[in-house]
Amino acid sequence: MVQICMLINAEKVSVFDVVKKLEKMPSVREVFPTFGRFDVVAFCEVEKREEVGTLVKAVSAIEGVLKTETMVEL
Amino acid sequence: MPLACIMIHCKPGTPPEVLKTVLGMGGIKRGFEVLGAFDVVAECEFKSLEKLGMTVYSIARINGVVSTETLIETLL
Repeated sequence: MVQICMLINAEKVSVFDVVKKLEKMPSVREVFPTFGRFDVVAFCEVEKREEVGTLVKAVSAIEGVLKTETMVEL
Repeated sequence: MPLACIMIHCKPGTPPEVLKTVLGMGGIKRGFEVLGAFDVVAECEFKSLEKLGMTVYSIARINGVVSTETLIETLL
């Protein structure tokens, strides 16, 4: 398994909806809203490194998501 | 219990040791080395802000840690 930490900027009015949608994604282990430079933090796990791109695309496609910063386990 | 994401910037060559120390701390649910703006990322579960503050302070004092940034779960 490859662990991932995704830091997400979302439209302020959509943060709650973004968190709800992320909670439904199978790869997402923990997700919570936050303040500061980012709006949502998601800890995810994927089987193989090749799946990271697919996960990032899926998260970026969620309505209200503006920007993501992804940190992949070495 | 609320969660926090603690991102740690380390001196070159020290992340593995820093990660080992962090994983040994109470409240740390997961942690791993990463590339990019930070070197180590940890997920922390905490009972109170004071406890979180003590954890972050302890992490900041680990040999090799340059700086930290903590994102705390907020209630919507």
